[in-house]
Amino acid sequence: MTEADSKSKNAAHDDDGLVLSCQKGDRGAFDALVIKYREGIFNLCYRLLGDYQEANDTAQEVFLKAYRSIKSFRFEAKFSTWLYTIGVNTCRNRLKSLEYRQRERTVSFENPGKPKNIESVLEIEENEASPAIQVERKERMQWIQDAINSLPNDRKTVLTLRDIQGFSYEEISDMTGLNLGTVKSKLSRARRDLREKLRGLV
Amino acid sequence: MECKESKELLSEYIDGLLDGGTRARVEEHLDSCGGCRDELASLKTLVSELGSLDIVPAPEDFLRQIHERLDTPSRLSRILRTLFVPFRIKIPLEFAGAAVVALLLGFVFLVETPVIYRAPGTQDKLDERLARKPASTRQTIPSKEESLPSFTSEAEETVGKNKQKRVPIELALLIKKFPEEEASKTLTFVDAPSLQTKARKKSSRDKVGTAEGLAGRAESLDRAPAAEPASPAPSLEAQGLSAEGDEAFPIHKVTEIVGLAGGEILEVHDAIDGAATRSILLNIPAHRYPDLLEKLGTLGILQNPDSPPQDLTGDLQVRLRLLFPK
Repeated sequence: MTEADSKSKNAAHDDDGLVLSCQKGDRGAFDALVIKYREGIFNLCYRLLGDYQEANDTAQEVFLKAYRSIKSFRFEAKFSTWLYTIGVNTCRNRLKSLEYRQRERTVSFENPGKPKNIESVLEIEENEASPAIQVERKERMQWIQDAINSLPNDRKTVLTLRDIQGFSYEEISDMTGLNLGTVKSKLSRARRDLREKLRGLV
Repeated sequence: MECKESKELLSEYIDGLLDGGTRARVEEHLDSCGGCRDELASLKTLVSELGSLDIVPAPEDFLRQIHERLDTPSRLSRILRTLFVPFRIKIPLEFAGAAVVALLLGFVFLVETPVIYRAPGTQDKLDERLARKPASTRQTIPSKEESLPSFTSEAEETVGKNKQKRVPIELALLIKKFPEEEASKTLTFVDAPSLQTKARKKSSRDKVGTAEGLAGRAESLDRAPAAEPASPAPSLEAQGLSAEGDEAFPIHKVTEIVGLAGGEILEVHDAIDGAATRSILLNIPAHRYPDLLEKLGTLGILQNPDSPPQDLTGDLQVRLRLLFPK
């Protein structure tokens, strides 16, 4: 067993304890789970929805759903997989209602314009390079995010879970409900599409 | 391996998911294909770039916001709570309210109200007719009903007009001399204009009847003629009637017969041509018309009496001409 596997197993074991306590009504255990998975769920929502406020609302909705259905968790899979499955489904439903917004987002390399969202969110650390580099970095990230936003929803989801969130193909298959072969083909397609959109930048 | 197949496998190649044989074939192709090598390089850079994207921090009050949403009931929950809590008070009240609403709706929709249709311009005609009517007969129509057509008064006026326009049945009665006339004289019906008599047997003798006042006696027209009284009929003078022309008695008799038949004398006219005739316009219920003919036949000879009307409802007007023998 590798160190990563060991850490993962310990984490899952810790999660089971918190979930058990939560199922018994321990609000503090639920808070602990929220704190642990807050950033991951929030970033998943942000990468899929492309909007900070939408990501905030959706991420809260993910945890609320988890809280309301925590007693139905049977410990057959890892809690993280279960939680991210809720996250993927919630974002998928939200994307359908926001699809008109996604069509308005286009990647323009001729006139990239000012960065959106991330500039107001990311903190400028003092030990960073010059402001010019920071602006360039922010713009770069925004362009990448815009390119991700332009992908079809299923490819965007698989790409985000694999290359941004770092989940395995099997975990992605569990979270999305897609079989392993479909996950591989969609990921390959998503990477190649994104590369075409970001050609010259990446 | 072709480039197309190679490019499709590069993603799995990056993630180390290819089996040994496939991996070897891809690497062999990469060794000989600069384009695929560039493609591989750009894919690896992209994956690396994606993996190093900054984590976007969640709001600092993220957990507090979740707590607020957990503690605040949903809109639906608030509505349900407002409607039904406490149960023992609100549910009976709501049932009572629903019952009241149902009663009101039933009253509105189930109680039939008359639908009144009125042709355009009808109201003006009604007003004119009302103005022509004598004041004593005018009906006071409440303001609420002014828009309603007065079908009753209109119908009455129409019937009245029809009555006035009705053509009276023409009858002629050749008064026989009495009481000297033989009792065995039979009733005859003659065709106009001749007065040829036809023999007709009667089951019983005609009864001329005695002269009595118009105050009348309750004599049923259906009663079979009784036998002639033994005593002779009182003279016309005793009856206060003019003996001249023998006209008074038949007229009074006719009046009596019409009265007993439920009719009424409308007009009495003397002949203007010097002939010994009198014309009586009378009204009689249609169903008593046959009785009238029968009883008039006791007074003389009926000339061409019209056939009884088929419609025996309502009243009939009869113009009876009395022909007095010279």
